[in-house]
Amino acid sequence: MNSTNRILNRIFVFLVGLLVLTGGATLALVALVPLVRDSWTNATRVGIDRATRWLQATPFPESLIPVSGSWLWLIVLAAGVLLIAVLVTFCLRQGQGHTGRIVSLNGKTSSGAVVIESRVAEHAIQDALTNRPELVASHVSTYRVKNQSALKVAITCRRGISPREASRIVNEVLFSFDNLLGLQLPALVQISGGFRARTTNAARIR
Amino acid sequence: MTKYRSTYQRISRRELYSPRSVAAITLAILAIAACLWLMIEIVLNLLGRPGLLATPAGMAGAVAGVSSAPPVFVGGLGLTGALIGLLLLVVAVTPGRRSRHLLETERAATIVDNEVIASALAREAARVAGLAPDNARVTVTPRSATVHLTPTSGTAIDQQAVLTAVREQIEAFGLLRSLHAKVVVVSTGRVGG
Repeated sequence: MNSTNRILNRIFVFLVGLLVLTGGATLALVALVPLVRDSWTNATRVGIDRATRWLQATPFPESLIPVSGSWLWLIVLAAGVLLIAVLVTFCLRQGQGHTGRIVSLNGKTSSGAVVIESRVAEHAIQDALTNRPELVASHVSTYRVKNQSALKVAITCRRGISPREASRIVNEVLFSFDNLLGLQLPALVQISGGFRARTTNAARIR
Repeated sequence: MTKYRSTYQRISRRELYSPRSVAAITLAILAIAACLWLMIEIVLNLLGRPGLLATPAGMAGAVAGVSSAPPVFVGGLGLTGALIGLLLLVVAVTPGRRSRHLLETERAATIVDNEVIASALAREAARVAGLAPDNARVTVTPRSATVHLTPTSGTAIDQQAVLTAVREQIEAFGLLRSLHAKVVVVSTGRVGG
């Protein structure tokens, strides 16, 4: 339900996979095929020679700090910093998409703007589900999906409870919350078992 | 539900398939670590200090020297790398369906873990077979549910009755993709089951 860019995730995994695959295949070919081994030796010698020439042709100006070598390294370092920044942003973008408001009516009402915070929904629904003996735990959160607030009700059932029964309980609560709110928000109900459900005894309620 | 059809479709699809976040984040962290290491080596080299593990010149030499290293070692390394790369490609391309099922309801998109379906079916199967709940074990896959029953030694189990009850129960759940039920009675019973 979050706004994680899944296509981007898959493209990234695909690209890294392709890179590792080509690297590994090249190594294997170099080790196993004599012809490839010879051309590898030649190609790397030419490459290293060229790189050495470039590095020697671009030394730091004399007056600068006590560093020896080429200023080309600085470009490499800058590229590295850029790559790290991009990757960190990529990691931090995962799992976003929560919202703090479920409804905001700006000037659509005669008495001014109305803002309803997600806490209202979260507390109301969670309170209604707390006393149910069929459920071990419940958690409500609000996300923004397709420019629209959506509720996510995650419940943990006791062992042996029918998912249909659990879904009916949550749907009842959702319908009464709709009445309370005066409009219907899209909702997701996630019914899971989990460790706490496995360790509790099988329920005898029907 | 009809009002937000596309929203519901998006939510259901995203809950049913893996986002591949774990793989992506792990790879990103590994790439960041490799980048940091290379940058530290470059800075140390510029300052004229010895490298942590290898100097840039040493690394280039190692890459060039691969052709004269023992072929078994290099070939093994290469094949391992190729295999890991292939695995990552598979992870990137396969749908990665989670072990969950969609439930038809009137109000909300409802998603159920296979585990919950299994435990509900196990309770029903144990009740019909007259066994303790722990002697019924159910495996749920995307298309089927298999009930394994461990009978009490010396008693028979009415397999047909259990199968009918399990089928009815699955019917009652209203799963969007129905499950094919199967009952297996373990040949060795258990005393006091």
